[in-house]
Amino acid sequence: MQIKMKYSAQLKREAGISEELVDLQPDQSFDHLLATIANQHSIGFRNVIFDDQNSRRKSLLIIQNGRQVNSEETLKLNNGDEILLMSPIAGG
Amino acid sequence: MTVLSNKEKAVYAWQFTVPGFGEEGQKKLKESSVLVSRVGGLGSVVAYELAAAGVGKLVLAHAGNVKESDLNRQLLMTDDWLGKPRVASARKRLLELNPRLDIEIIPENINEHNAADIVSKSDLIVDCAPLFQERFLMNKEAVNQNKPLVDCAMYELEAQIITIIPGESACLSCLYPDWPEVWKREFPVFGAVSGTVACLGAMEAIKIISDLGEPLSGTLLTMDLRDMSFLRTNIKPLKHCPVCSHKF
Ligand SMILES: [Zn+2]
Repeated sequence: MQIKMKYSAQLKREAGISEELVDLQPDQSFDHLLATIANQHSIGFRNVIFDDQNSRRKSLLIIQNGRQVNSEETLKLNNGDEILLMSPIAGG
Repeated sequence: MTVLSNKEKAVYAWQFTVPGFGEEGQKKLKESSVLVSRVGGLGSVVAYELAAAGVGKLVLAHAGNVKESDLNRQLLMTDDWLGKPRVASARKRLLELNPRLDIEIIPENINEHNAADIVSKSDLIVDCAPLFQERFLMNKEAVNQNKPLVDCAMYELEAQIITIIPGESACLSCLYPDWPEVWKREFPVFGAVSGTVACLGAMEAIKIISDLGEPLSGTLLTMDLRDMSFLRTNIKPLKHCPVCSHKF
């Protein structure tokens, strides 16, 4: 399946791109997707997504096809999904 | 009962004609108090717009003195005030615009010792702090004290805003359930980006105080000014939010 990834703020800056297409096997999970993109980009990009214990940071906002998937929910991927990852910002 | 003077009626005349606002809306603004913390790139413009609109009392919290690197965005700071307290410059500039205001200045940033007291001084909070530590403290106090909080933030050419109505919408800890340790205090910034989201934040405050329109309660509005794209996303309250779940 193919997933369209979009990135904002620090994540976009680290990736150097605002969006990309990622190909996955049909049964692959969201965690697998995050590991895949983390491997394709810089260590700074990985650090925005994962903490030192390699757990996904809950402060990363996840929007699947326009709908937020919060830290109490599980994200199930579907072919053609658009996933927006927004890194936390606090600039004044 | 709040009465508007002839001078106030003249100054705010062009707002009275906004449908749904009128003289009653103006009286509500005059009776209200708003905390703006801090008054940097974002908070300066929030405070300026609220002062212009006639919010009766502004509480401004910000530590430190004006630095050269403030001047590209902190529009209440001036070159002749370098090395002197930021909040004093902010107060001076706001009173030049609107001498009818009550402005309380606090030369401190929000911390765990002063947060409850500073939040208690106002009816509504516009959160413009550059550190999550301050933002989370204000969020917690706003929820505890049942006060609406408008959270505005920016990074580079991107910005976001969400309005938190305790017991109605998700709070900042619902949005960011763990510590956003990747955030750094120094960030790329144009004043015009801070100012854009600041005007939206000021408008949210005016709307909530005067019962005008629909605030962004539970909706995160994000924008990227590189391509002028705007996105609205519903943010659900967390069932187990340590800050706000007891309000639902
Ligand atoms: Zn919450």
